[in-house]
Amino acid sequence: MLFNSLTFAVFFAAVLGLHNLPLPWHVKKLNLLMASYLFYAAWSPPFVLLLWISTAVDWKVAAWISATPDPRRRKQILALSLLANLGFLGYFKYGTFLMDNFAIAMQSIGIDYVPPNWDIVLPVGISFYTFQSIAYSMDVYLHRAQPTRRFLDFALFVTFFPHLVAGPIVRPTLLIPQFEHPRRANRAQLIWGLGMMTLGLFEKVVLADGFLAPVVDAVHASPHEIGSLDAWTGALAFSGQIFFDFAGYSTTAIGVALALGFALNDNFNFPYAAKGFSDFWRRWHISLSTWLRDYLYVPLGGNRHAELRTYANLMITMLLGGLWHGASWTFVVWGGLHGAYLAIERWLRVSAGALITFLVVTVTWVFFRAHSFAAAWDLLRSMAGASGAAHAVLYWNDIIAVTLIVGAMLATHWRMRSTRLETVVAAAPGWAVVLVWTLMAFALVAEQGAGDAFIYFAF
Amino acid sequence: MPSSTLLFDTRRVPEKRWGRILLWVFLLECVLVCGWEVFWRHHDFIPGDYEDTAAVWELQRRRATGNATVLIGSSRMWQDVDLGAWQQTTGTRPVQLAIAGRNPQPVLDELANDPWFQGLVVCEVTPYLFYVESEAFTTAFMHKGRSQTPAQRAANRLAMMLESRLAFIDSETRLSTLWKRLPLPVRAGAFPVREVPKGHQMQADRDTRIWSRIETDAAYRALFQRLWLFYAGGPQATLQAIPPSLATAQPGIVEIVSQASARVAEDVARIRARGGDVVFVRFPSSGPVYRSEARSFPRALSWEPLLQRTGATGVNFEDHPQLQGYSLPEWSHMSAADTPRFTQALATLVTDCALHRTSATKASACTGR
Repeated sequence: MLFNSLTFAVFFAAVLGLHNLPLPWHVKKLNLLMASYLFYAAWSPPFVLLLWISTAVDWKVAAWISATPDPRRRKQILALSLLANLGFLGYFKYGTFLMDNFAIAMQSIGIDYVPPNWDIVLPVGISFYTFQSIAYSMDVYLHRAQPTRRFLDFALFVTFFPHLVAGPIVRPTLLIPQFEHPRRANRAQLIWGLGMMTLGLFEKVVLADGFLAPVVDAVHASPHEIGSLDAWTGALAFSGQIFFDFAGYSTTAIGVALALGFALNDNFNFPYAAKGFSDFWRRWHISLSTWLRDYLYVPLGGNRHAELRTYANLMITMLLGGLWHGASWTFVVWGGLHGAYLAIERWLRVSAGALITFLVVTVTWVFFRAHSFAAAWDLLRSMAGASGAAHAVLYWNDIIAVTLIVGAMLATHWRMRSTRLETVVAAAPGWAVVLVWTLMAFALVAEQGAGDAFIYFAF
Repeated sequence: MPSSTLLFDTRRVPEKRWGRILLWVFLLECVLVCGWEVFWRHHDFIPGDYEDTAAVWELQRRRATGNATVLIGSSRMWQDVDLGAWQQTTGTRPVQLAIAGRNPQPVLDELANDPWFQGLVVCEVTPYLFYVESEAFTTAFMHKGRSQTPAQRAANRLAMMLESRLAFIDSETRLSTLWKRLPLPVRAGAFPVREVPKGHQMQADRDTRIWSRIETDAAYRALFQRLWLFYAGGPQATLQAIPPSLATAQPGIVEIVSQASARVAEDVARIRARGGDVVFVRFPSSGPVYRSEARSFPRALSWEPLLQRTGATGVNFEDHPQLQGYSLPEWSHMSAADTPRFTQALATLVTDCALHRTSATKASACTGR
């Protein structure tokens, strides 16, 4: 189920109503759990089974680890969790990719191997909920947390619908304790939650889908070489689209949870105002970058060993982070480039300015968005003004819209780089809040929204 | 715990009088949305005019089973046939599966391969779309309809409920569409025609008519005329002349028609084997659109070989006086007021063709000769 759909509006109204009925807390949690399964099943009912398996495995694994003092045995049990979760992820997300690359490797040594056509469907959100489940088992294994006593709380932690399909990737230590005692949003939380939902949906439906996505699609679908104005407009539009799409989802998710009385962590902190790449990754997809830091980079040794090992750990983390986004070498290169930027920054001990950081991030997004290296190179050549007989694929309407939206986005990020939305809203006069909220809500209604999926649903 | 920032269980809410703010937002939103609705109702938009999405098409596809009469083709079949008039004439309300601007062959393939379908297919043949247009667009549209999630199916039902009551729910009134329609100069080298603007009004069962604005607004009508000329002849097209590229037949026409006809013949045979039938229809066009179609796809090289190869019957408006003389405001689609009369004439001819295809009266009934 998409947040930006009429189905979700009806679903959320029902869940909110149920959650505010005078029912026992245990029943309310059961309602939320059932609603979360319904939310997921509305996309594809059979894949709920994967959620159940992932939940059951990590529930048992954490209990066994906690009850086992022997370090070797604990490691073996943890491996079971990793095997199950990464096995699902490997099969559904990377199965075809692995087989295709195996076939290429075989061909390179003269063996003509044709991989079977598995036609695997990627279960939506699998990259997110498997990471959450792994975090639970890892926390217990690393003595960072005790296993929870109630299965219902753990199942709800894995499945809670606001974060289920595209994050934020929530830590067990943040969310599970919130299920222990009755929670219901007070009036301010409920209304502020609705306000955040409006903001998030405005970013997604109006800015990302309505104005920016068609420009990006036109540039990337062009069968001809395009001019540098079109190429740069397309690249900048994607910088805006990916931010508004994903930050819009995260803001909506946080708003939905808050309206029900739960707190989720921030996932974005005005990333295009970042000065340098370390700063960028502290502001972009924060829940993933901190997950990778805590469950991959640190266990690999982090920066606790020799300098060279630190660089290697950094590159491994970013390469795998790139691969997490999709089963394609273009994502690996995107991650690798960011790893290289971080390594250079660490080596030189200087950070780039905000504008340089934004431009480099924008150019690097080309590998993220392009379907192939050939397409990425074509666009980069066009951006460099090296294309031959270039075609104009965009109209002045597109170019002006992208300039205005991306310009406003950068100005907002810069203005907000050292503050928080809550602080600015608290300081703003009431009429200004009313005006902005009304205009965003009206734009949402007027744009109508075609119900396009969020980009990160595919990851 | 390494991420100490994650140890919180409440989010900060800005200090505001939130009850009052929400009330004001709600009131202003109601005023704005009502004003928006009134504005668009004064600009030729009406409630009950549905978006033609893959989901709506799929709903109709599910009705195309058993002995149904199914209409396939592109925009002329979609807009020129009045389903009510067809029902009055034949006693059967047909299922409308035509897709504007698309090649209908994948739809015919699907019906031919559907063992539950044994009915009558009436297939529009608009030469360029039928013979040359990529089938990939049609296939993708059909696939999108078929592969909807349960949530998407529910969302479609809800959207149709809103569309039945609100005029402004229309892709033409979206903010992004309105921005795209701002009359800024076209860049040098850019495709001079961006996309086809709104040209129809559609009911829930895809019963569709030309949009009234095309009939009443000369400037809007001229926009469509230029569009059709552009699609027919490229950017040099003018309202006065047929572009040089259309002075001769479509290159490779014999091969193109032969290949398409061979495949279509297999579909026709499969449908007939189950007791169904297929009738091809060439809809009226006029002015430069007719002349360009006649020159790029001469009848002797396209229509006749198709009928010959498939053995199917065909109704060509050129052969029947009762299918001629209708108003085609932008040369391609029929005036809404004329569609009932045209549909009655067409339905009568098609029924005769389907009933008499094996008899000696076939030639006179269907070819008009």
